[in-house]
Amino acid sequence: MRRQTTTVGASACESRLDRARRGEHDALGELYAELAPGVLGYLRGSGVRDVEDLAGDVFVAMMGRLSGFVGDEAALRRWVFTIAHHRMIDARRRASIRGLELVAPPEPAGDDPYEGVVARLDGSALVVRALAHLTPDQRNVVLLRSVAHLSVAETADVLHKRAGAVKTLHRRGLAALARVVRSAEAVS
Amino acid sequence: MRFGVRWPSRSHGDMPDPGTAALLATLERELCTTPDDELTRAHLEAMELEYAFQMSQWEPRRPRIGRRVWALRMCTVAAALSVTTSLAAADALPTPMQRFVSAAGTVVGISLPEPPHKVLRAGLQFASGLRAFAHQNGRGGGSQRALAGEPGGNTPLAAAPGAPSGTAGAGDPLPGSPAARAALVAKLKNAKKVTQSSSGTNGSPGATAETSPTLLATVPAPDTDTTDATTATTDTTTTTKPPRTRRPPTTRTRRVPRPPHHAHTPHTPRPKRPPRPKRPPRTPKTGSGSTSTGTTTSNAASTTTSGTSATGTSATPVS
Repeated sequence: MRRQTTTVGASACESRLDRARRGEHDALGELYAELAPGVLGYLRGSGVRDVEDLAGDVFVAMMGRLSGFVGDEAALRRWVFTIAHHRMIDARRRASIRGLELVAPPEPAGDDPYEGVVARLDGSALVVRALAHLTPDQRNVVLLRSVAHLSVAETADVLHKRAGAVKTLHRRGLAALARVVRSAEAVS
Repeated sequence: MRFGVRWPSRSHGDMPDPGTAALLATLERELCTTPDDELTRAHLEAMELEYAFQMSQWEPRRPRIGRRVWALRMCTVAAALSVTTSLAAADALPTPMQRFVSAAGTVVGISLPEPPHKVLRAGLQFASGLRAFAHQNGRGGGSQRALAGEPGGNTPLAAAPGAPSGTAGAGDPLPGSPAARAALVAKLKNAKKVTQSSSGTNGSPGATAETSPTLLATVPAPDTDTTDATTATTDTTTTTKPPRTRRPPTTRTRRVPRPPHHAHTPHTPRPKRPPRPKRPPRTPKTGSGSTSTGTTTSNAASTTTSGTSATGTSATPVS
Protein backbone atom coordinates (compact mmCIF):
# COMPACT_ATOMS: atom_id res chain seq x y z
CA MET A 1 0.00 0.00 0.00
CA ARG A 2 1.47 3.25 -1.08
CA ARG A 3 1.43 6.28 1.05
CA GLN A 4 -1.07 8.86 0.00
CA THR A 5 0.31 11.81 1.88
CA THR A 6 0.52 14.99 -0.06
CA THR A 7 4.07 15.85 -0.90
CA VAL A 8 4.71 19.44 -0.16
CA GLY A 9 7.85 21.22 -1.08
CA ALA A 10 10.25 22.03 1.66
CA SER A 11 10.02 25.75 1.10
CA ALA A 12 6.23 25.72 0.95
CA CYS A 13 6.09 23.61 4.07
CA GLU A 14 8.42 25.93 5.86
CA SER A 15 6.42 28.92 4.79
CA ARG A 16 3.26 27.22 5.96
CA LEU A 17 4.90 26.36 9.24
CA ASP A 18 6.09 29.92 9.62
CA ARG A 19 2.63 31.25 8.95
CA ALA A 20 1.20 28.75 11.43
CA ARG A 21 3.72 29.95 14.01
CA ARG A 22 2.47 33.47 13.46
CA GLY A 23 -1.08 32.24 14.10
CA GLU A 24 -2.47 32.69 10.62
CA HIS A 25 -5.86 31.07 10.24
CA ASP A 26 -5.30 29.68 6.75
CA ALA A 27 -2.04 27.97 7.61
CA LEU A 28 -3.56 26.47 10.71
CA GLY A 29 -6.52 25.22 8.67
CA GLU A 30 -4.22 23.59 6.15
CA LEU A 31 -2.20 21.87 8.81
CA TYR A 32 -5.31 20.70 10.58
CA ALA A 33 -6.86 19.36 7.37
CA GLU A 34 -3.72 17.41 6.67
CA LEU A 35 -3.13 15.98 10.10
CA ALA A 36 -6.58 15.63 11.65
CA PRO A 37 -7.80 12.50 9.76
CA GLY A 38 -4.72 10.51 10.74
CA VAL A 39 -4.92 11.62 14.34
CA LEU A 40 -8.61 10.87 14.55
CA GLY A 41 -8.10 7.47 12.93
CA TYR A 42 -5.26 6.59 15.26
CA LEU A 43 -7.22 7.56 18.34
CA ARG A 44 -10.35 5.88 17.11
CA GLY A 45 -8.51 2.67 16.28
CA SER A 46 -6.88 2.71 19.70
CA GLY A 47 -10.33 2.47 21.23
CA VAL A 48 -10.30 5.79 23.01
CA ARG A 49 -13.55 7.29 24.08
CA ASP A 50 -14.21 10.92 23.24
CA VAL A 51 -11.98 10.77 20.23
CA GLU A 52 -12.80 14.26 19.06
CA ASP A 53 -12.07 15.87 22.40
CA LEU A 54 -8.79 14.05 22.65
CA ALA A 55 -7.91 15.11 19.09
CA GLY A 56 -8.71 18.69 20.07
CA ASP A 57 -6.33 18.39 23.01
CA VAL A 58 -3.65 17.09 20.70
CA PHE A 59 -3.92 20.05 18.35
CA VAL A 60 -4.08 22.54 21.16
CA ALA A 61 -0.92 21.05 22.63
CA MET A 62 0.68 21.24 19.22
CA MET A 63 -0.28 24.90 18.91
CA GLY A 64 1.12 25.69 22.32
CA ARG A 65 4.54 24.34 21.41
CA LEU A 66 4.64 25.22 17.73
CA SER A 67 6.72 28.36 18.32
CA GLY A 68 9.60 26.25 19.59
CA PHE A 69 9.30 23.54 16.96
CA VAL A 70 12.20 23.09 14.56
CA GLY A 71 11.89 20.77 11.57
CA ASP A 72 10.11 20.02 8.36
CA GLU A 73 6.73 18.52 7.57
CA ALA A 74 7.74 14.93 8.30
CA ALA A 75 9.12 15.96 11.64
CA LEU A 76 5.93 17.87 12.36
CA ARG A 77 3.84 14.84 11.47
CA ARG A 78 5.94 12.56 13.66
CA TRP A 79 5.76 15.06 16.46
CA VAL A 80 1.97 15.38 16.27
CA PHE A 81 1.49 11.61 16.38
CA THR A 82 3.86 11.41 19.32
CA ILE A 83 1.62 13.87 21.13
CA ALA A 84 -1.43 11.83 20.14
CA HIS A 85 0.19 8.62 21.40
CA HIS A 86 1.01 10.20 24.75
CA ARG A 87 -2.49 11.58 25.05
CA MET A 88 -3.92 8.18 24.27
CA ILE A 89 -1.83 6.58 26.99
CA ASP A 90 -2.94 9.24 29.44
CA ALA A 91 -6.57 8.61 28.51
CA ARG A 92 -6.12 4.91 29.05
CA ARG A 93 -4.60 5.47 32.45
CA ARG A 94 -7.42 7.77 33.44
CA ALA A 95 -9.96 5.23 32.17
CA SER A 96 -8.31 2.40 34.06
CA ILE A 97 -8.33 4.49 37.24
CA ARG A 98 -12.03 5.23 36.77
CA GLY A 99 -12.81 1.61 36.00
CA LEU A 100 -13.97 2.32 32.49
CA GLU A 101 -13.19 0.19 29.48
CA LEU A 102 -12.10 1.91 26.33
CA VAL A 103 -13.56 -0.53 23.87
CA ALA A 104 -15.84 -3.35 24.76
CA PRO A 105 -13.94 -6.43 23.68
CA PRO A 106 -15.96 -9.03 21.87
CA GLU A 107 -16.93 -12.04 23.92
CA PRO A 108 -15.18 -15.14 22.65
CA ALA A 109 -17.49 -18.13 22.20
CA GLY A 110 -16.52 -21.73 21.84
CA ASP A 111 -13.04 -23.03 21.30
CA ASP A 112 -12.07 -20.56 18.65
CA PRO A 113 -11.74 -17.18 20.32
CA TYR A 114 -12.39 -15.37 17.08
CA GLU A 115 -15.43 -17.35 16.16
CA GLY A 116 -17.91 -15.35 18.14
CA VAL A 117 -16.32 -12.09 17.13
CA VAL A 118 -16.47 -12.81 13.48
CA ALA A 119 -20.02 -13.86 13.85
CA ARG A 120 -20.96 -10.42 15.00
CA LEU A 121 -18.90 -8.48 12.50
CA ASP A 122 -19.81 -7.66 9.02
CA GLY A 123 -18.31 -5.47 6.41
CA SER A 124 -15.90 -2.74 7.29
CA ALA A 125 -17.01 -2.66 10.87
CA LEU A 126 -15.62 -6.14 11.13
CA VAL A 127 -12.14 -4.93 10.36
CA VAL A 128 -12.30 -2.10 12.85
CA ARG A 129 -13.53 -4.24 15.64
CA ALA A 130 -10.99 -6.90 14.84
CA LEU A 131 -8.36 -4.49 16.15
CA ALA A 132 -9.56 -5.17 19.64
CA HIS A 133 -8.06 -8.64 19.37
CA LEU A 134 -4.58 -7.33 18.88
CA THR A 135 -2.20 -6.54 21.64
CA PRO A 136 -1.78 -2.82 22.41
CA ASP A 137 1.66 -2.72 20.84
CA GLN A 138 0.49 -4.54 17.71
CA ARG A 139 -2.50 -2.26 17.45
CA ASN A 140 -0.42 0.87 17.82
CA VAL A 141 2.09 -0.28 15.25
CA VAL A 142 -0.59 -1.28 12.76
CA LEU A 143 -2.42 1.97 13.20
CA LEU A 144 0.66 4.14 12.91
CA ARG A 145 1.98 2.30 9.92
CA SER A 146 -1.36 1.92 8.06
CA VAL A 147 -3.48 4.86 9.20
CA ALA A 148 -0.90 7.55 10.03
CA HIS A 149 1.41 6.37 7.22
CA LEU A 150 4.54 6.62 9.27
CA SER A 151 7.65 4.75 8.29
CA VAL A 152 9.22 2.06 10.43
CA ALA A 153 11.76 4.48 11.82
CA GLU A 154 9.14 7.12 12.56
CA THR A 155 6.89 4.55 14.20
CA ALA A 156 9.77 3.33 16.29
CA ASP A 157 10.50 6.91 17.27
CA VAL A 158 6.91 7.58 18.29
CA LEU A 159 6.53 4.35 20.26
CA HIS A 160 10.07 4.49 21.69
CA LYS A 161 10.89 1.09 20.26
CA ARG A 162 13.51 -0.29 17.95
CA ALA A 163 12.88 -0.62 14.24
CA GLY A 164 13.18 -4.41 14.37
CA ALA A 165 10.59 -4.63 17.10
CA VAL A 166 8.28 -2.39 15.10
CA LYS A 167 8.61 -4.65 12.05
CA THR A 168 7.88 -7.75 14.07
CA LEU A 169 4.90 -6.18 15.78
CA HIS A 170 3.56 -4.97 12.47
CA ARG A 171 3.84 -8.40 10.85
CA ARG A 172 2.24 -10.22 13.73
CA GLY A 173 -0.50 -7.65 14.03
CA LEU A 174 -1.40 -7.91 10.39
CA ALA A 175 -1.37 -11.72 10.59
CA ALA A 176 -3.69 -11.66 13.55
CA LEU A 177 -5.96 -9.17 11.89
CA ALA A 178 -6.13 -11.20 8.70
CA ARG A 179 -6.79 -14.34 10.65
CA VAL A 180 -9.73 -12.74 12.43
CA VAL A 181 -11.19 -11.28 9.27
CA ARG A 182 -10.84 -14.42 7.19
CA SER A 183 -12.30 -16.55 9.86
CA ALA A 184 -15.23 -14.20 9.94
CA GLU A 185 -15.60 -14.35 6.20
CA ALA A 186 -15.42 -18.12 6.31
CA VAL A 187 -18.19 -18.21 8.88
CA SER A 188 -20.34 -15.86 6.93
CA MET B 1 -8.32 -23.13 9.92
CA ARG B 2 -5.37 -20.80 10.13
CA PHE B 3 -4.96 -17.70 8.01
CA GLY B 4 -1.56 -16.27 7.59
CA VAL B 5 -0.27 -13.23 5.91
CA ARG B 6 1.52 -14.29 2.82
CA TRP B 7 4.33 -11.89 2.26
CA PRO B 8 5.42 -11.57 -1.31
CA SER B 9 8.98 -11.87 -2.38
CA ARG B 10 11.55 -9.29 -1.44
CA SER B 11 11.30 -7.69 -4.84
CA HIS B 12 7.93 -6.30 -3.85
CA GLY B 13 9.25 -4.65 -0.75
CA ASP B 14 7.11 -4.73 2.36
CA MET B 15 3.85 -4.86 0.46
CA PRO B 16 1.52 -7.48 1.92
CA ASP B 17 -0.62 -9.73 -0.17
CA PRO B 18 -3.70 -8.32 -1.87
CA GLY B 19 -5.98 -9.60 0.82
CA THR B 20 -4.08 -7.88 3.56
CA ALA B 21 -3.81 -4.75 1.47
CA ALA B 22 -7.56 -4.71 1.05
CA LEU B 23 -7.91 -5.18 4.75
CA LEU B 24 -5.66 -2.24 5.50
CA ALA B 25 -7.47 -0.12 2.95
CA THR B 26 -10.74 -0.88 4.64
CA LEU B 27 -9.20 -0.07 7.99
CA GLU B 28 -7.99 3.26 6.79
CA ARG B 29 -11.24 4.13 5.16
CA GLU B 30 -13.18 3.39 8.29
CA LEU B 31 -10.86 5.09 10.73
CA CYS B 32 -9.45 8.04 8.85
CA THR B 33 -12.54 10.09 8.42
CA THR B 34 -12.38 13.71 7.60
CA PRO B 35 -13.76 15.74 10.45
CA ASP B 36 -16.89 17.67 9.73
CA ASP B 37 -16.94 21.46 9.52
CA GLU B 38 -18.26 21.97 13.01
CA LEU B 39 -15.50 19.90 14.52
CA THR B 40 -12.88 21.56 12.37
CA ARG B 41 -14.07 25.02 13.37
CA ALA B 42 -14.10 24.08 17.03
CA HIS B 43 -10.59 22.73 16.87
CA LEU B 44 -9.27 25.71 14.97
CA GLU B 45 -10.83 28.10 17.44
CA ALA B 46 -9.23 26.19 20.26
CA MET B 47 -5.87 26.39 18.51
CA GLU B 48 -6.20 30.12 17.95
CA LEU B 49 -7.17 30.66 21.55
CA GLU B 50 -4.12 28.71 22.59
CA TYR B 51 -2.00 30.85 20.31
CA ALA B 52 -3.46 34.03 21.76
CA PHE B 53 -2.82 32.73 25.25
CA GLN B 54 0.76 31.95 24.38
CA MET B 55 1.23 35.40 22.94
CA SER B 56 -0.20 36.99 26.06
CA GLN B 57 2.13 34.95 28.21
CA TRP B 58 5.14 35.72 26.08
CA GLU B 59 7.72 38.06 27.50
CA PRO B 60 11.25 38.76 26.44
CA ARG B 61 13.78 36.55 28.03
CA ARG B 62 16.01 38.11 30.54
CA PRO B 63 19.61 37.82 29.54
CA ARG B 64 21.40 35.03 31.26
CA ILE B 65 24.35 35.44 33.52
CA GLY B 66 26.71 34.34 30.78
CA ARG B 67 25.45 37.06 28.51
CA ARG B 68 25.75 39.61 31.27
CA VAL B 69 29.31 38.56 31.94
CA TRP B 70 30.05 38.74 28.24
CA ALA B 71 28.54 42.20 28.02
CA LEU B 72 30.53 43.29 31.06
CA ARG B 73 33.74 42.02 29.52
CA MET B 74 33.04 43.79 26.27
CA CYS B 75 32.30 47.03 28.08
CA THR B 76 35.53 46.70 30.05
CA VAL B 77 37.56 46.09 26.95
CA ALA B 78 35.95 49.02 25.16
CA ALA B 79 36.59 51.32 28.10
CA ALA B 80 40.22 50.25 28.32
CA LEU B 81 40.71 50.78 24.60
CA SER B 82 39.12 54.19 24.68
CA VAL B 83 41.19 55.31 27.67
CA THR B 84 44.39 54.00 26.12
CA THR B 85 43.65 55.67 22.82
CA SER B 86 42.86 58.93 24.50
CA LEU B 87 46.07 58.88 26.49
CA ALA B 88 48.01 57.95 23.39
CA ALA B 89 46.43 60.81 21.47
CA ALA B 90 47.46 63.15 24.25
CA ASP B 91 50.97 61.62 24.17
CA ALA B 92 50.68 60.93 27.87
CA LEU B 93 51.60 57.27 27.84
CA PRO B 94 55.02 55.92 28.73
CA THR B 95 57.35 55.70 25.78
CA PRO B 96 57.19 51.93 25.11
CA MET B 97 53.44 51.91 25.57
CA GLN B 98 53.08 54.97 23.39
CA ARG B 99 55.14 53.36 20.67
CA PHE B 100 53.12 50.15 20.86
CA VAL B 101 49.77 51.93 20.80
CA SER B 102 50.81 54.17 17.93
CA ALA B 103 51.93 51.10 15.96
CA ALA B 104 48.63 49.38 16.66
CA GLY B 105 46.74 52.51 15.69
CA THR B 106 48.69 52.68 12.44
CA VAL B 107 47.60 49.14 11.64
CA VAL B 108 43.99 50.01 12.37
CA GLY B 109 44.20 53.30 10.53
CA ILE B 110 44.45 55.78 13.37
CA SER B 111 47.35 58.18 13.39
CA LEU B 112 48.67 58.63 16.89
CA PRO B 113 51.77 60.57 17.92
CA GLU B 114 54.80 58.33 18.02
CA PRO B 115 57.64 59.11 20.40
CA PRO B 116 61.00 59.92 18.75
CA HIS B 117 63.82 57.47 18.66
CA LYS B 118 66.17 57.23 21.60
CA VAL B 119 69.09 58.93 19.89
CA LEU B 120 66.91 61.59 18.37
CA ARG B 121 65.23 62.19 21.69
CA ALA B 122 68.60 62.58 23.38
CA GLY B 123 69.63 65.07 20.71
CA LEU B 124 66.47 67.05 21.14
CA GLN B 125 66.92 67.12 24.86
CA PHE B 126 70.49 68.31 24.46
CA ALA B 127 69.39 71.02 22.07
CA SER B 128 66.64 72.18 24.38
CA GLY B 129 69.10 72.21 27.25
CA LEU B 130 71.49 74.34 25.27
CA ARG B 131 68.73 76.72 24.34
CA ALA B 132 67.61 77.00 27.94
CA PHE B 133 71.16 77.61 29.08
CA ALA B 134 71.60 80.33 26.50
CA HIS B 135 68.39 82.02 27.50
CA GLN B 136 69.28 81.85 31.17
CA ASN B 137 72.67 83.46 30.62
CA GLY B 138 71.24 86.01 28.26
CA ARG B 139 73.84 85.41 25.64
CA GLY B 140 72.54 82.95 23.22
CA GLY B 141 74.96 81.71 20.65
CA GLY B 142 75.04 83.35 17.35
CA SER B 143 74.05 80.27 15.53
CA GLN B 144 71.17 79.66 17.93
CA ARG B 145 69.99 83.18 17.58
CA ALA B 146 70.18 82.83 13.88
CA LEU B 147 68.11 79.70 14.13
CA ALA B 148 65.65 81.44 16.36
CA GLY B 149 65.48 84.41 14.05
CA GLU B 150 66.76 86.81 16.68
CA PRO B 151 69.02 89.71 15.87
CA GLY B 152 72.68 89.25 16.50
CA GLY B 153 72.87 85.85 14.97
CA ASN B 154 75.73 84.55 12.89
CA THR B 155 74.42 85.93 9.70
CA PRO B 156 76.47 87.74 7.11
CA LEU B 157 74.47 90.86 7.71
CA ALA B 158 75.27 90.84 11.41
CA ALA B 159 78.99 90.47 10.89
CA ALA B 160 80.68 93.67 11.84
CA PRO B 161 84.08 94.08 10.15
CA GLY B 162 86.83 94.34 12.68
CA ALA B 163 84.75 95.24 15.63
CA PRO B 164 85.54 92.94 18.48
CA SER B 165 82.85 92.83 21.05
CA GLY B 166 83.01 91.98 24.68
CA THR B 167 80.47 89.28 24.60
CA ALA B 168 80.36 86.34 22.38
CA GLY B 169 76.79 86.81 21.25
CA ALA B 170 76.36 90.47 20.67
CA GLY B 171 77.46 91.41 17.21
CA ASP B 172 79.62 88.42 16.57
CA PRO B 173 81.29 88.55 13.20
CA LEU B 174 80.96 85.70 10.83
CA PRO B 175 83.29 82.96 12.01
CA GLY B 176 86.19 82.40 9.73
CA SER B 177 86.01 85.83 8.26
CA PRO B 178 88.92 88.30 8.40
CA ALA B 179 86.97 90.35 10.85
CA ALA B 180 86.67 87.44 13.21
CA ARG B 181 90.36 86.76 12.90
CA ALA B 182 91.16 90.36 13.69
CA ALA B 183 88.87 90.31 16.69
CA LEU B 184 90.49 87.19 18.03
CA VAL B 185 93.95 88.62 17.59
CA ALA B 186 92.89 91.71 19.46
CA LYS B 187 91.52 89.58 22.26
CA LEU B 188 94.70 87.64 22.46
CA LYS B 189 96.73 90.79 22.69
CA ASN B 190 94.57 92.05 25.49
CA ALA B 191 94.94 88.75 27.26
CA LYS B 192 98.68 88.94 26.86
CA LYS B 193 98.76 92.36 28.44
CA VAL B 194 96.62 91.22 31.31
CA THR B 195 98.86 88.25 31.89
CA GLN B 196 101.97 90.32 31.98
CA SER B 197 100.49 92.86 34.33
CA SER B 198 99.13 90.25 36.71
CA SER B 199 102.21 88.05 36.78
CA GLY B 200 104.63 90.92 37.45
CA THR B 201 108.16 89.59 37.80
CA ASN B 202 107.10 86.12 36.87
CA GLY B 203 105.99 87.11 33.42
CA SER B 204 108.96 86.74 31.18
CA PRO B 205 108.98 87.82 27.57
CA GLY B 206 110.02 84.39 26.56
CA ALA B 207 107.00 82.78 28.10
CA THR B 208 104.57 85.04 26.33
CA ALA B 209 106.43 84.59 23.15
CA GLU B 210 105.88 80.90 23.50
CA THR B 211 102.15 81.08 24.18
CA SER B 212 101.23 83.59 21.60
CA PRO B 213 102.02 81.50 18.55
CA THR B 214 100.17 78.60 20.11
CA LEU B 215 97.11 80.64 20.67
CA LEU B 216 97.40 82.28 17.35
CA ALA B 217 97.63 78.93 15.71
CA THR B 218 94.16 78.15 17.02
CA VAL B 219 92.74 81.20 15.36
CA PRO B 220 90.89 79.93 12.38
CA ALA B 221 91.94 80.86 8.98
CA PRO B 222 89.47 82.73 6.86
CA ASP B 223 88.71 79.60 4.94
CA THR B 224 87.95 77.39 7.98
CA ASP B 225 84.48 76.39 8.91
CA THR B 226 82.31 77.25 11.87
CA THR B 227 83.51 74.45 14.11
CA ASP B 228 87.08 75.74 14.08
CA ALA B 229 85.86 79.20 14.79
CA THR B 230 84.03 77.96 17.84
CA THR B 231 87.16 76.26 19.09
CA ALA B 232 89.19 79.37 18.58
CA THR B 233 86.65 81.42 20.49
CA THR B 234 86.92 79.04 23.37
CA ASP B 235 90.70 79.37 23.41
CA THR B 236 90.59 83.12 23.41
CA THR B 237 88.22 83.04 26.30
CA THR B 238 90.70 80.90 28.15
CA THR B 239 93.54 83.33 27.55
CA THR B 240 91.59 86.26 28.91
CA LYS B 241 91.33 84.57 32.26
CA PRO B 242 93.93 85.61 34.83
CA PRO B 243 96.72 83.12 35.25
CA ARG B 244 96.42 80.77 38.08
CA THR B 245 98.68 81.66 40.94
CA ARG B 246 100.19 78.99 42.99
CA ARG B 247 99.51 78.99 46.62
CA PRO B 248 102.40 80.23 48.72
CA PRO B 249 104.26 77.43 50.39
CA THR B 250 103.19 76.98 53.93
CA THR B 251 105.68 76.32 56.76
CA ARG B 252 105.10 72.98 58.08
CA THR B 253 106.30 71.81 61.43
CA ARG B 254 107.46 68.35 61.62
CA ARG B 255 105.36 66.36 63.85
CA VAL B 256 106.87 64.64 66.77
CA PRO B 257 105.91 61.09 66.79
CA ARG B 258 103.67 60.34 69.64
CA PRO B 259 104.53 57.54 71.92
CA PRO B 260 102.47 54.55 71.64
CA HIS B 261 99.29 54.60 73.51
CA HIS B 262 100.12 51.68 75.78
CA ALA B 263 103.77 52.16 76.57
CA HIS B 264 105.31 49.75 79.02
CA THR B 265 106.45 51.47 82.16
CA PRO B 266 108.06 49.64 85.06
CA HIS B 267 105.85 49.30 88.03
CA THR B 268 107.09 51.25 90.99
CA PRO B 269 105.59 50.45 94.32
CA ARG B 270 103.77 53.15 96.10
CA PRO B 271 105.80 54.77 98.87
CA LYS B 272 104.51 53.91 102.22
CA ARG B 273 103.11 56.51 104.45
CA PRO B 274 105.29 57.60 107.26
CA PRO B 275 103.99 56.37 110.56
CA ARG B 276 101.96 58.75 112.51
CA PRO B 277 103.60 60.31 115.54
CA LYS B 278 102.21 59.02 118.72
CA ARG B 279 100.18 61.29 120.77
CA PRO B 280 101.63 62.46 123.97
CA PRO B 281 99.65 61.65 127.02
CA ARG B 282 97.11 64.19 127.93
CA THR B 283 97.85 66.54 130.77
CA PRO B 284 95.21 67.41 133.23
CA LYS B 285 93.89 70.90 133.07
CA THR B 286 94.89 73.39 135.89
CA GLY B 287 92.64 76.34 136.42
CA SER B 288 95.09 78.83 138.07
CA GLY B 289 97.98 78.03 135.94
CA SER B 290 96.02 78.37 132.85
CA THR B 291 94.59 81.55 134.04
CA SER B 292 97.90 82.99 134.95
CA THR B 293 99.84 82.01 132.01
CA GLY B 294 97.02 82.04 129.57
CA THR B 295 98.73 79.63 127.17
CA THR B 296 96.25 76.98 126.13
CA THR B 297 96.80 76.93 122.47
CA SER B 298 98.72 73.71 122.21
CA ASN B 299 99.35 70.78 124.46
CA ALA B 300 103.11 70.75 124.04
CA ALA B 301 103.43 74.41 124.60
CA SER B 302 101.21 74.32 127.50
CA THR B 303 103.10 71.43 128.86
CA THR B 304 106.32 73.24 128.52
CA THR B 305 105.09 76.40 129.96
CA SER B 306 103.17 74.64 132.57
CA GLY B 307 106.23 72.65 133.56
CA THR B 308 108.19 75.69 133.77
CA SER B 309 105.61 77.39 135.62
CA ALA B 310 105.14 74.38 137.84
CA THR B 311 108.66 74.38 138.78
CA GLY B 312 108.41 77.96 139.39
CA THR B 313 105.19 77.79 141.26
CA SER B 314 105.77 74.34 142.82
CA ALA B 315 102.79 72.81 141.35
CA THR B 316 102.89 69.07 140.85
CA PRO B 317 101.15 67.25 138.10
CA VAL B 318 98.50 64.83 139.01
CA SER B 319 99.08 61.39 137.67
